[in-house]
Amino acid sequence: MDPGGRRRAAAVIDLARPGFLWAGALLTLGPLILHLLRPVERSRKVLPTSRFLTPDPKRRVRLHRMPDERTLLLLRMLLCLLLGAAFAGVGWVGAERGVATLVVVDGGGAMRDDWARARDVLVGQLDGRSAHVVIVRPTSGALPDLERLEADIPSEPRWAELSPGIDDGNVRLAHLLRAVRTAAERTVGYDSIAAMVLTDPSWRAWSAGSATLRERLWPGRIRLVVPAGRTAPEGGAAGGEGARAAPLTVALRAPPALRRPFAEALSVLGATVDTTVAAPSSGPDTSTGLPGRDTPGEIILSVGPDADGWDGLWLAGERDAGAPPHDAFLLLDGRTFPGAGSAPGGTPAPGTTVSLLRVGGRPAAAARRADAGCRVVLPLDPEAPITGSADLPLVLEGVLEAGCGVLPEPPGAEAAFRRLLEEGSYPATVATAEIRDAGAGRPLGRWILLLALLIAVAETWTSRGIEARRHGRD
Amino acid sequence: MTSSEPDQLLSPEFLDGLDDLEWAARMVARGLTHGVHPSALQGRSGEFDRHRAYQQGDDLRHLDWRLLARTDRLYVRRFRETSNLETMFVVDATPSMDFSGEGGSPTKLRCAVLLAAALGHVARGAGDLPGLVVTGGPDGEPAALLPARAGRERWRAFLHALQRTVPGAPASLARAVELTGDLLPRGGRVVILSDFLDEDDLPALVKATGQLRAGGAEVMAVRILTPEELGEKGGDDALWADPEDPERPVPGAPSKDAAYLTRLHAYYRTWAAHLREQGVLWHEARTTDPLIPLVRAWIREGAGGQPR
Repeated sequence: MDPGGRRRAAAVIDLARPGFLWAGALLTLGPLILHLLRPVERSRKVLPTSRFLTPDPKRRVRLHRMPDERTLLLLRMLLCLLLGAAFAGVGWVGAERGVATLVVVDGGGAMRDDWARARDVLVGQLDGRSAHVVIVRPTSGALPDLERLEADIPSEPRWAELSPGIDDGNVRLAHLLRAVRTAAERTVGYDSIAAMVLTDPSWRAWSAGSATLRERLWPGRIRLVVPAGRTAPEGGAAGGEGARAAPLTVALRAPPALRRPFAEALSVLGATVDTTVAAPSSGPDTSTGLPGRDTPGEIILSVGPDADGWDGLWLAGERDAGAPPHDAFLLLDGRTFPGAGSAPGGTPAPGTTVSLLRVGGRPAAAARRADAGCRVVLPLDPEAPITGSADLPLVLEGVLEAGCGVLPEPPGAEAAFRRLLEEGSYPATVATAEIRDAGAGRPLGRWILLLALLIAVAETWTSRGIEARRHGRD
Repeated sequence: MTSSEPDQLLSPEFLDGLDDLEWAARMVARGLTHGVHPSALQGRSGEFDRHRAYQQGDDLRHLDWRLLARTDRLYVRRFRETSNLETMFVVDATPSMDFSGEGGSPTKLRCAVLLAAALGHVARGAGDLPGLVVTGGPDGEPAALLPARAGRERWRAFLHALQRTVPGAPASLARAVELTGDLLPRGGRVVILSDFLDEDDLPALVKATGQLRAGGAEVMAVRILTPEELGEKGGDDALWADPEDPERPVPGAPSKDAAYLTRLHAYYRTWAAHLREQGVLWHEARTTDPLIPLVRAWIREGAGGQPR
């Protein structure tokens, strides 16, 4: 393999609808049979008594071993084949093969301070190898906004022109994954692709369902490259997001459909998620209105449309006077408001021990400390954008921090990203045949149709020539 | 064979096969010279035949006086007078006769020419006078016309004309037969050699042969066809063209067309029936048939059983 990870191989084409090509090939049998089945030419003979014959205008056909008019037959067979190929969606993939290195660069605001270093890191990681580089801009749509797909890493001056976006324009993990897929589908001429993502991991870039998307979008390992100067997850606190003394473990009690997004969101926050919370044996903790569990000091997160204990939550919180006050309430839509004084009606007064998250003036989540642990109820409002929201880590962070007094581990985002992208039994490269859309490559259908048209003209011309020759002979 | 050597029409082997034949006339001859055929004349120069009882009105010169003296009865002496025949050959030389089929067999015209030569040779051996009418000339006129005459030179001219016979234009066979009748004021013998494929000619030919017969001539019709025409050879799928109507070829396969032979035989049965009604002898020949046995059979058939 050469330094670029390429090796020469035979030219390849790709077919979007191979059935049409087979149909075209099958269709070529038509002209062949027609050229083998030739009408028996009646010779002209003299017979004075021919008047007594019964006229038999029916022409007899005989199967010959060799076809006649082979040039015409060749043109007709070629025409059938080309028509099949034209509708088969033939794409020119290229003559080169090998492993392509695809680098998806986060062009969002999170990279603003690291942009200059990002190229150096990338160059260092590639170690002189050629790579396809695509820069992903922040986008609000489902598809990533690919800045460009360059066949090599841009030069330093060119790189300087490609500045990242503004601070508040984050590129979500889902967009980066989608960009890997989209760019890979556009990368032709290789039989496999190794993917790299250059980003500054932040839980703000997390989006619900990323784990699911990750498997579906890229069935191979994605190497996570962070700009130089960032500390590894094991390196402790960094980025000014604080630190937590003890590992955070959350027992998640949620319907199956909700387990995954909540587990992912907690994972992004650095929490270890225990989804094996059994149903309470003795019913809800009636004294608090929160689900009960026998393990003291554990954080139990109860999620669901009818989360256990919700009915008594409101009043329970009001009754717990004397608990340390909290500073603010966090709403599920991301807004915060001061807990004391100016809270709207119905908002728990300062000094309550129950933390409430409110949406539209209604309590949306509550947390209560108990036995050195914390019990959280998060009833889901069908209209509340929680499960699919990118703000879910934010919501949970607010609940855990404000309600349970737990500070999620800031570098957990990078660890979660790395787990998501690099760990597991993913292969280092992904075969292009596995991910490429059928018919990818440079489309040749138009050219094939043009060629078919030319052959049709040649067929007509040849056919007329033969006809004229036959008439002349007659 | 060239036209300058007409005798080669009749090879020595061919002549050997015919020399012992005597082609007797089926009717009394009314020739002008002595021959082998019974004559209508009852003169005294001929061979004594028989006595007959005298009848009133008989010529007394024929009375046998010696027999009257011995038997005292009146008898007249009858003599057998013989005469020759003028034998005219009508050869159809229209385009349809220029057909030989496959396998190198002679054309129908060549076959007709050989048959005319053979029968002419047999006739000449009996003192008859052969003559010739060949159809296919321009404007419907005969291509050759030789009245029956005696003499060696006339015989050579007869053979020479036969040898030079080539396919001509379509023509009416009946017209040729009518001309032949004009050349036979005292009756005689007419041999028509044709394929008889001009069906429009049938009524006229029937009429012409009827007139010949009424004039005291005997008429023989010889139909000549090839094995291909008779459906005995070849006949694969092809476009079959009538040489007298080449623009309208008929697609078909005679060998696989059962109706073809049915129509063909029905056609010739009609011809034979009409001509036989006129007292015409109808014979059929293939171009591949050996000529000598054929000629011998016809002559034997003509000599016996036929009404005189």
